[in-house]
Amino acid sequence: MATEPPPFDFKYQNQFVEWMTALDSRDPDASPMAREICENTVYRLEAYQSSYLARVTSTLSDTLFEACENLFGIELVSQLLAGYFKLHPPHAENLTDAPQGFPQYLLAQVKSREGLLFADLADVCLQRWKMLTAHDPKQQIPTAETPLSRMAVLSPAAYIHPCSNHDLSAAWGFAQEKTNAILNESIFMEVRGVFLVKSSPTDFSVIGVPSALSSMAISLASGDSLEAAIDELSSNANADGESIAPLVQHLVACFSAGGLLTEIPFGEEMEQ
Amino acid sequence: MKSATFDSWGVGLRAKHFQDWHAASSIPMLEIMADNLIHHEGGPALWHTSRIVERAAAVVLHGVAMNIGGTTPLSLNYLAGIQKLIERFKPLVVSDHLCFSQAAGLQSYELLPLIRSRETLEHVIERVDFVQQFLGHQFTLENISAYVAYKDNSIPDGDFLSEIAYRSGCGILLDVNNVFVTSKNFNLDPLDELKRFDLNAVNQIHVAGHSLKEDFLFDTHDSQVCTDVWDLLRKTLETFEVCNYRRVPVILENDNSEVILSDLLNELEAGKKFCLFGTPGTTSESSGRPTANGN
Repeated sequence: MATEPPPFDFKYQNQFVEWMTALDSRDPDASPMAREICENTVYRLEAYQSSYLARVTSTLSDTLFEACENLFGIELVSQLLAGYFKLHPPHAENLTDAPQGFPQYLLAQVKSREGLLFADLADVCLQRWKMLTAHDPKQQIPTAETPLSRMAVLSPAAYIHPCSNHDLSAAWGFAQEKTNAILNESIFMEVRGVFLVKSSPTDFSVIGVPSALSSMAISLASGDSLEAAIDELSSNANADGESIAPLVQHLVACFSAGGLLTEIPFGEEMEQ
Repeated sequence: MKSATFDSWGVGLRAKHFQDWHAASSIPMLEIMADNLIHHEGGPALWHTSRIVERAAAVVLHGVAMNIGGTTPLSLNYLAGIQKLIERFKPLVVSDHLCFSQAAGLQSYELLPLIRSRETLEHVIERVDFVQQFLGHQFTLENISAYVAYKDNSIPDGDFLSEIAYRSGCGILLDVNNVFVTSKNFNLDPLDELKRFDLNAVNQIHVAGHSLKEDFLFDTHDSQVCTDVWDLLRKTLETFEVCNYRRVPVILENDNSEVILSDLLNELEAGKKFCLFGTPGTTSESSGRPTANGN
C-alpha cells in the first residue's frame, strides 16, 4: 500500500503544491485548482502561498542564514531565497535541508565582490548549521573536560555564546569525520596558529591556521562578526574579492571541523 | 504514562525554551515535535529534549510531515524515525494532521486541506492502518484550520475525522482553535461543529492563538488564546465530564519566538482555571483573555 499510488484522481493535490511552490502566479483565480475551490473562498488560496513563501524566505533567513541577514538585510536575503526556491522548489522533507544549493545559485547570479562574499557567507551558514546540528552519539555533556572560559566556538556569527552544551557537543561529533581532511590540506600552508579540535572528551587534534587567516581568526575569537572579520582580512591582506574567497572557505572548513579555539598562540606568541 | 495522577495540562516544547526548562524546578506534560528530532539523528534538539522530558509529568509526540492524506507514498524513513521516538519517550499520544503537505514530489511545509469525500476517507483509512501497523502504536489525527472550501466536500469536518477514527481505531486530536477558525471562516457555529467530533475518540486537545487576515481567521500560533476559544474548550471539557469523564491531555501551543516561558505557563494556568472552575473575574477586559490571578 505504501508504495502504490491511489486508484483515483487526486490531481488537485499536485496542482495545489505546484502552484504554491511556483511562486510566479500570485493570482489565486489563475491557479489550476481554483475550479476545485468554492468561488467565495478562492481568493484565500493566496494565504497558503504567502505562508509557504514566508517559511522558505524569512524563516530560513532568521535561522539558517542569520549571518547573511545581519550583513545584507532580511529583505535582500528573502528576495534571493525566493528566487532560489522559485527555480528549485523544495523536495527535502526537512526545511533546513532544502537550500543546500543556495550558495551555488548565488555564485551563478553574481559577479561582484559583494556577491562572492554573500555566496561564501551562505556556504558558511550551511556548514555552521551542519556543525550545530551534528549528531553526538555519546550524548555526553561536553563541557566536563575543558573549562568553558578557555574555549570559543568559531562560527560565522562569533557572537553566538559558546557555552551552550549542544554547540560543543555537536562540534565534537562533526569534528571526528572532518579532522583528517583538514589536516591534510593545512600542512602545505604557513601555520601561524592552531585550532584545537576535540573529537571526543579526551582526544584532541591540531589544525594549522595559515597566516593570512590569523587576523581574521583573532577578530572572530574576540567576538567580532564574520563580516567584520572579513573586512579585517581584506584590509590587512589588501586582497580583492576573488582572493578572499578561498581563504574564507578554508576558515569555513576549519569551522566545519568543529574548531574549538583554545588559547591559540597567534602572532608574536607563536613566533617565540 | 509516567504517573497515574499526572496533570493533563501542558505546553508544546520549543527550542527557544530549552534552557528555561533545564532550569525549571518542575516540568508539566510536554508535547514534543517529532520533526525536530528525526532529521540528522536528532542533533542537539534530541539531547535537550531527552534531558527535559526525563523530568516531565508526561509526554505526547506530535508531527507535521506525515502527509497522511497525500498520494505520495508514506516515507518509511520518517515512520522509522517516529518509531524510534516512541521507543525512546513512550509518549501517551502519537499524532499528526489530517491533511496533505506534499505532492508531485514537492514539499509545501504547510498543512493543506483534503477534499472531504468518500474516496479520500477510504484512502486515509488505508494509510492510517498502515501507519498503525508499522508503528505498533495507536496513531492520532488532528483536525486542521481551513481557509478554503472545495466544491466536492461532501462530509462535514467532524464527521469526516470521526468516521476515520471509528473505522481505523485511530484517535482524534481535537484542536479547539482549529474548530473555531474553520467554523468562523465558513460561517458555521463552532459549538455545533465541535459536537460533530466523536468525543469518545478524542485522546488529546490543542488550544492556540490565531489572527485575523483580511476577512478570515488564520491559524498562526503566535498569539494568546482568545476567550472564545477558551470558552469552547470549557464547553468541550464539560461535555467530557457529562458523558464519559477522562483525563484528556490539553496542550497549549505557541510558536511565537518572542514568547517568554513564564508568560506561556501563566496563560496555561489561567486557561485551566477558566475552563475547569469558571473562575469569575479572570477575564481581562482589555485583552478579552483569561489571566492568571487577574495579573
